[in-house]
Amino acid sequence: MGEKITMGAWGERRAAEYLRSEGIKLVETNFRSKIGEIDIIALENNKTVLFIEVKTRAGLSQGLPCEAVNKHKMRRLSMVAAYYMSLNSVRASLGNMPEHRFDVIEILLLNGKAWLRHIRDAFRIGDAGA
Amino acid sequence: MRNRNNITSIGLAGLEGYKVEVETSISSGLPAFIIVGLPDSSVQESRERVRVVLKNIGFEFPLKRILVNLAPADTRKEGPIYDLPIALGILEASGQLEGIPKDCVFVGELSLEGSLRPVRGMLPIALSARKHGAKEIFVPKDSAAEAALVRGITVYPAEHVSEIVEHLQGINEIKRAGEYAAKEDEETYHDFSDVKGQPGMRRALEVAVSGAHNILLCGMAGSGKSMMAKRIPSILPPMSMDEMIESTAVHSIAGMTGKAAPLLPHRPFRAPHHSVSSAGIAGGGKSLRPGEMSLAHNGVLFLDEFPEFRREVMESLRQPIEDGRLTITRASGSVTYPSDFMLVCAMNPCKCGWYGHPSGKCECSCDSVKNYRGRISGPIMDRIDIYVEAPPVDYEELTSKGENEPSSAIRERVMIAREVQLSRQGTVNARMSHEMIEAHCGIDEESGKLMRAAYEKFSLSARAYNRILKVARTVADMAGSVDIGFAHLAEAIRYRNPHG
Ligand SMILES: [Zn+2]
Repeated sequence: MGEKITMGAWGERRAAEYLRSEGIKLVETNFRSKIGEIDIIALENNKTVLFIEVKTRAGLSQGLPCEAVNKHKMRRLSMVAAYYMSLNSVRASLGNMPEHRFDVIEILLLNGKAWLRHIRDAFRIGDAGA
Repeated sequence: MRNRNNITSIGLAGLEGYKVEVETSISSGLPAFIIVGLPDSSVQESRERVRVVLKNIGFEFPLKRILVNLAPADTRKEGPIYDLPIALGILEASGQLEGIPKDCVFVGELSLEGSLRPVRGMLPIALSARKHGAKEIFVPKDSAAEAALVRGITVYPAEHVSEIVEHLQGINEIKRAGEYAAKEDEETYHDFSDVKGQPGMRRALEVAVSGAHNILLCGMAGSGKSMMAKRIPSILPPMSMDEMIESTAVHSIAGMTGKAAPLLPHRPFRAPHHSVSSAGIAGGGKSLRPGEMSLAHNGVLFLDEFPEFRREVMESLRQPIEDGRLTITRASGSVTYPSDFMLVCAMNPCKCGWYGHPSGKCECSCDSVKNYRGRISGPIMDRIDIYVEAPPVDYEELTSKGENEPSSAIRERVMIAREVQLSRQGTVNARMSHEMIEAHCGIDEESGKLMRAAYEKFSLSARAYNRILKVARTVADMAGSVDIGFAHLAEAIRYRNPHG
């Protein structure tokens, strides 16, 4: 590794590799907007749009990585996803997809190994309180 | 796929049930699961349970925008009982289940494995379902016996949500709950024959129970007053079916019914400790549960060491004594529970308990004795129909001879006296209206003089005046007399508290 990258960026790259290996098509990485960002947007089976939050942590001292997706984060992700789906360019390509899903990929670095876990349908809008 | 549907459930406000329509709509869009319609936090938690359960029992939790509306929107929805209708609503609206009949009611909390947990207030819910025209009700198995107390509605008990799904799909029909057969009251009571002497207190108690009058027993420690009060259940007349249903409904809301034999077999006898709180006696808490006064509905509320009760507890007795029901109001709402009880109080004559004992054991000052009795306020004393003082038992024992009468003999007389009252005016004497007093409590001229003398001597209130007439009516009924005679009235006046 020549350039120095953050652990978060490394995790996102690792997650992208994993998704490709699963045959899931990446649509966008690091989507940014004024209201927030989404790590990965992907398409599964040409049917389901995935909004994926990647959480990477070294060690368990702060709990499991997925536990970092709190109510505040859920609300934020819902808003960014809604904004994303409203973009004209997106509507042209993804507008008629029947399903949308919020996933979390957690990557835990422990004893020199990376443990990856893909949590499908990690939350629904409303989980953070209506 | 229908995308939207309605399933009927029932909510409770006190004993009153109201229809709740669980409206589910599923549309495309970002995956959401939202419950609206004034759900409290326990209803919000059902989102998580329903989601897990549907997946666990092999259904899809659709990746769509799921909106559940609990209508009417202006009533607060409480508790986890909407889990079942919400789960079925999602299955039907997403096309995974068909044919939920319209005149059905569903209630039940789900465990994460999909089993159904018992429901608090099952009896009033089932009564309300029938009132709203439902033909069938699906309930948790452990609540089924209680729901089956209600005639005219088919009860389907289920242990697991899958049983209900399969029933609706026509795969496996659920066996209906059988109508509940009331059991004989098998409880063995302490008997009046165990209590020595005290003919005066015995008589006063029989008068009180015969007409459901409030009574205060005053006697020193060891006079047997508490012993006698605790034997009241053995002489209470049996409940009618309607009374049983009413009393059971109150216990059901308090979560105090047994799952195998839910119907309350005998009149309640509630004896809260004098440390009881206002909420404990009157009801309350977040979900406005009934208190001791409502649990004593159709039965007896026994308050031992009456002057030791909190002031606000004593004062809260006034409304139910007058109205036979009790309204609790909190920020979360207001509910009314039936609270028609016979009040039985016992007290020592003084703080130490020995005032008036021939041995002179009492060391209370005159002020202290006055003070102790003064803890019972005028308005409460006014509502006590019968006040009786018990002489020390060692003196009494000398004069009592032979066997004491067993409870069964007293109970038989009580039942006859009650029968007379119910056939004459449809209620017990203690509950007579002004019109009924007018019609049934006439007194002759001689008795009128006696009444006037008493009126002046005790400076009676109008309420006390009417209460004396009601007790006199009971004494006359016990004697099998159509009219209230001089002796009947004289006995009733004797029961007024001379200190009150
Ligand atoms: Zn004393």
